[in-house]
Amino acid sequence: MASKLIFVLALAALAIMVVLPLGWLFYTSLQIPDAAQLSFANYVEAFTKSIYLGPIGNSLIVATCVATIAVAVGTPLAWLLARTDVPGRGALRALIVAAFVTPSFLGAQAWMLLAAPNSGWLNKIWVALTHAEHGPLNIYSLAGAIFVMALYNIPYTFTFVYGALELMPAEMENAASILGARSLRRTLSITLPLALPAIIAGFIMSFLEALAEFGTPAFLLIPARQQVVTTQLYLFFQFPQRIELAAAYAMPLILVTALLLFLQRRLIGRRRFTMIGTKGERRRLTPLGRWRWAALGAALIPSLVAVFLPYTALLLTSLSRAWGLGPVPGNLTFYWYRWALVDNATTQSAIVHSFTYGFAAATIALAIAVTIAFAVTRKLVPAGELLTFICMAPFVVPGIILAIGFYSAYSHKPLLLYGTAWILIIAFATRFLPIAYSNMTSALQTLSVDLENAARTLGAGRVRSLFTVTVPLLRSAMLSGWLLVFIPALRELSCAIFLFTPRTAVMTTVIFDFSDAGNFEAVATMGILIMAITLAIVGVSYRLLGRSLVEAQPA
Amino acid sequence: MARIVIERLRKRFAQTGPLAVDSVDLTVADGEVMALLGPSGCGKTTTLSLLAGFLRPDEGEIRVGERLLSSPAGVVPPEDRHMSMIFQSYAIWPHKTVFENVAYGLHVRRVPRREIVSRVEEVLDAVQMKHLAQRYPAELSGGQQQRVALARAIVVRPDILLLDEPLSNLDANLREQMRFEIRRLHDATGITMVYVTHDQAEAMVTADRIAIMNGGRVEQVGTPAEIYERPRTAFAASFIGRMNVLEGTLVGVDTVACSGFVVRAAAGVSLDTGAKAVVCIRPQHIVLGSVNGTPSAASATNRVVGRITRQTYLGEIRDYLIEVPGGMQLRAVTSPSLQHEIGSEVTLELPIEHCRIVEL
Amino acid sequence: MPQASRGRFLTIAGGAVAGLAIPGIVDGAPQAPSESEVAKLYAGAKKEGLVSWSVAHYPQETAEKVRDAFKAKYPGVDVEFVRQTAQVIYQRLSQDLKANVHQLDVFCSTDEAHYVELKKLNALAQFVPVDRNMIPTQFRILDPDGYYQLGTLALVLVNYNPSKLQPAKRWQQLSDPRFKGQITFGHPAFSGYVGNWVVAMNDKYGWDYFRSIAPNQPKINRSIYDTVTDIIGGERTIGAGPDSLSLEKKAAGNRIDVYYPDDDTILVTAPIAVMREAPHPNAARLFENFFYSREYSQVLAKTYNFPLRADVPSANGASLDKIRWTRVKVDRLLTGIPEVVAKWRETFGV
Repeated sequence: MASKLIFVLALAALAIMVVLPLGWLFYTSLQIPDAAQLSFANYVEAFTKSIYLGPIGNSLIVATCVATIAVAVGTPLAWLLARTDVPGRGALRALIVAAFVTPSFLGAQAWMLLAAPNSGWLNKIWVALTHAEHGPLNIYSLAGAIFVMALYNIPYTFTFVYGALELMPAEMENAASILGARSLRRTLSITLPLALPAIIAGFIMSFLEALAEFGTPAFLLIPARQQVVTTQLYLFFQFPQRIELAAAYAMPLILVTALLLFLQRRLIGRRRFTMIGTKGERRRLTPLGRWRWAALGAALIPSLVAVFLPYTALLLTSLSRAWGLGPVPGNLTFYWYRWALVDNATTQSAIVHSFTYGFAAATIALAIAVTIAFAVTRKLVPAGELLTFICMAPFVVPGIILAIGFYSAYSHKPLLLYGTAWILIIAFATRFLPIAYSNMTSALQTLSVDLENAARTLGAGRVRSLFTVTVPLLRSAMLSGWLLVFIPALRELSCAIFLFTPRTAVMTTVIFDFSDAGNFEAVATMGILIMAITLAIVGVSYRLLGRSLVEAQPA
Repeated sequence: MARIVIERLRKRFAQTGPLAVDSVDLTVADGEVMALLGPSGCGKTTTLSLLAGFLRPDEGEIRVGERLLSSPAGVVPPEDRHMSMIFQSYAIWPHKTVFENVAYGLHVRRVPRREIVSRVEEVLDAVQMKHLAQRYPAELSGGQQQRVALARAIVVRPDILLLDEPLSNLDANLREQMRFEIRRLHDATGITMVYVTHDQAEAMVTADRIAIMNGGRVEQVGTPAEIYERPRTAFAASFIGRMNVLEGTLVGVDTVACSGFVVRAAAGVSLDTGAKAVVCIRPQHIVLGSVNGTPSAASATNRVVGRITRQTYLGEIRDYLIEVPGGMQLRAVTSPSLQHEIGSEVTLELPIEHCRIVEL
Repeated sequence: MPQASRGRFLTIAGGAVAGLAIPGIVDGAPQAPSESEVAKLYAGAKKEGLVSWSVAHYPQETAEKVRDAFKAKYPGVDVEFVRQTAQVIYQRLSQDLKANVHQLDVFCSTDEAHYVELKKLNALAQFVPVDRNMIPTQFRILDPDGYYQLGTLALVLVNYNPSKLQPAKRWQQLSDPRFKGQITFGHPAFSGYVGNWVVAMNDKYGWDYFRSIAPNQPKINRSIYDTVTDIIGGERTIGAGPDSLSLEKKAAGNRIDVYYPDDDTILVTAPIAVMREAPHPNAARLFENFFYSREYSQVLAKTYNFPLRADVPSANGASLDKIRWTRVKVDRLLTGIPEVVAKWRETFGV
């Protein structure tokens, strides 16, 4: 009985988290303000006006470029670290983790300091060195936004491809060697094609992230006088509010995502990539010879531009009384840290909120993921496919659209969650549920059902055997699943920006608010605080798990 | 000429770890099938990997013909060895069709396209896979994948074919069938093969000669019959076929005293009297008799009285386990018509011509 | 979850009911509270402990100074505030109101039209501060019904980097090719000040004015204060910016100055209002009342804003009598801002 009850609760939570918001989103898109009947008028308006079509084009361009660059850099990087004797592999991976946990809007803010056309530090250095009239970089451009987003998306492809290369049986490549294929040919004809599912997953992940990203375009593309779908959606929320139009406008994003996932299936098609390997085999690392150090240099570039430069810029700015004066001795101060942590009630409560909401969201997402994944993998319920689909559905819905769905569904009775912490907690939990779910599913699949059955033959009930046998065995998978929700929840902006109220501001929305009017010191300080906290958590988790979080499965 | 000469080969994985391959010397004649037979961890797969060039030896050399392929100073990479290999997991590439898998080595060798088609079709025909040429590996059964691996390896007409436990992932029936196919393939092509297996029957069916490996060393090399009939070590003796191994002390050049009885063998060994030695005799060579029916029920040279502790009817034979004085358990098989009750006493006749003394 | 939110809803409703009994609120013509009523407001505010405030009037640091002055005058009442551009705080407020969520006490936008809309929605409370008579007559009554009052007087004028170029003397000169790649603006869809300025320019010169500036590739930001950041940081050299922050930065030694254009500085009357269902009704009124205190005007003067009260001198002796200024009336803002936002989008792409 207890097992049924828990399962029913999890189902209800799924309905609240996924089904209702998405249903409401669709319903809202058909509504006409002050009219009773439903119609497709919003769709007609959204997709016939050229000012609304332009942003869609821009979004597709940005997403395609970001995903292409992320794959083009992430794949060789993964290959270098997994298959060659490039020096410093451990340190390189740590740097990629640092890039992985950096929210790209923070990177965008840092790159504004570095590469604004005239005032950017890099451009100034260039002008000082070459006496050129202008610096070469302009972060306020489509190219600039693509560059920044690509930087922080490289870790996705890297992680997926690196994982695939690690799991790939050495025999697959040895078979090509013995048939006469040399390193380059082997890599191109065997290794990379075998990593194709991971590469595609990386591409799709980056494409979706870029499509759904709000912060970076808001910071970089408004000055560039370009709109993308997310900034247009934000405008629909401005006065006069057009939530119905926003809902209609959001639909193609979901369609594009669904189309991508369909294409992914088609691409992989009959080539099901199940590979049997024998354990304990030894892999030959490709010796790079005299190219080793050159390769290290190349591998360091993404980290340099994604981590070193931005963090240096943010750190210096956060320690400056006024960033415009530059990092000179008299200008250095801890004023802003004191301001954020002690003097300012808004930032203090935002820090507390970020933590508590992230904590609650991760716990809820994990609880649901464990319950549903358990029920589905153990085939305890009918319609397992459907449940999996529902759990994974938020993956295809960009955060900003999920936020619109949440607002439409929960800003009125009977479930008035808007204005409370719950709407943010549930939104975060929903956004990252797919990560927790796929993590738990793969962990449960590796765990033999016989272990539980053994407990059950000894008289333990299903729930008891779950908690006494399965859960302890899954502890590390559960911890990593929890963290994989907690960390992104800490840095979530695109959902939060639509759902927070004065009493529920979180660190990211506060950063967003400071980002206007040139409060760069405040933004940098809050950014450094978020990152310090996140990296500390990653460090602790590494000790607890004995491995890096980034080795998780692709969603 | 694909004559393989392996000399004093040594390989150690961890700096302080045990030797995975310990001073292996082995010569494989051109056109010969050599099986490396031994239990898991005996160093046979490592030897094969050294042979393929995936590993570099710590000591020793590998030559093929006049060509030095491996030495501590360097290895010719796998791609330049003119070898093919069949892997335990088959390593069929899942992103290529059967045809593409088989054609791969020919593309690498820049064989003209038209010739590729005809050669691939020919070899697929030979392994009865022609009709599945456009399938992807995920759509094939294990046996079919095995055939693809075989076709992919031989289509390039390698000098040497290396096989790493190629049949271990197949079910028993298929395994038996594939042994003969591999042997037939060899007879048709004459390729030199080195075949790693832990299955003695597989080795005996496919190999011209067998190298028994244990603990990184080669214990004995010989034809299946030689090893079966004249095992040089207790390990070799017990690894090929079933064998009773009686421990004792050498009391004469051809006589071993076990606890409670004495066994003489047909041939002596060059060991000092008093040394530890073992006598080997195969279960089917032991002659059982009832205690009542024999003239003398007492133990004598090559005769001992024992008690039946287990008896299994296997249809074609009966399999007995008999405890003899000193507590040793001997195994004997008889025709199914001869029946002894469990617990009854029997005499065991150990014919001199079937007893072999080997070093412990 | 539902229980939690209902509980919260009840507290909010309770607060609103309590608000009806607050001094100074009479149906019909509102009157300023008496001294003793202010004391009662303070007592009530101390119990509430907090006032929640959205402000677009001035930059973060000025808002912090206002907060600190209020807390110094009324210990025990904390101020929680968000500084954002006018349209953003208005969007958040309307999103809340639509959901019947009431968390904001005091609303300070720079687009007077917002207050007309909010009044229509019956979302504002009537309140008249004690010292309303201390401010210049012409701005004393923004809303005859007393739903909102003047909170800040601000100017939109030419900002420039004096070490790099001569300023445009007239707004019209911004289309001069010598300003190509030099100009920085805020965005009328975000900033109320910018909205006021764009409507004024549109009404004076027609939209062709902006079309003629477009080839100069102005950098478009969100807030009007981004103009100051761009000029100080060296990103751009001239723009339509504020007076207060620029003069403050100039005084601190930054390379920025203002020019009062010959074809009119734009004066913006940025209002303040208490929300009808403010969760902290006493603190909200006390806070609005504080805007007419000497302390508030002193903060404004210190930060180079116009002091509201006539008895507090301005920082640089600036006086509205000495400059040519114009002001967009609220009726015009109502239709004008949505109109120019759409045109802006066409001309500048965002």
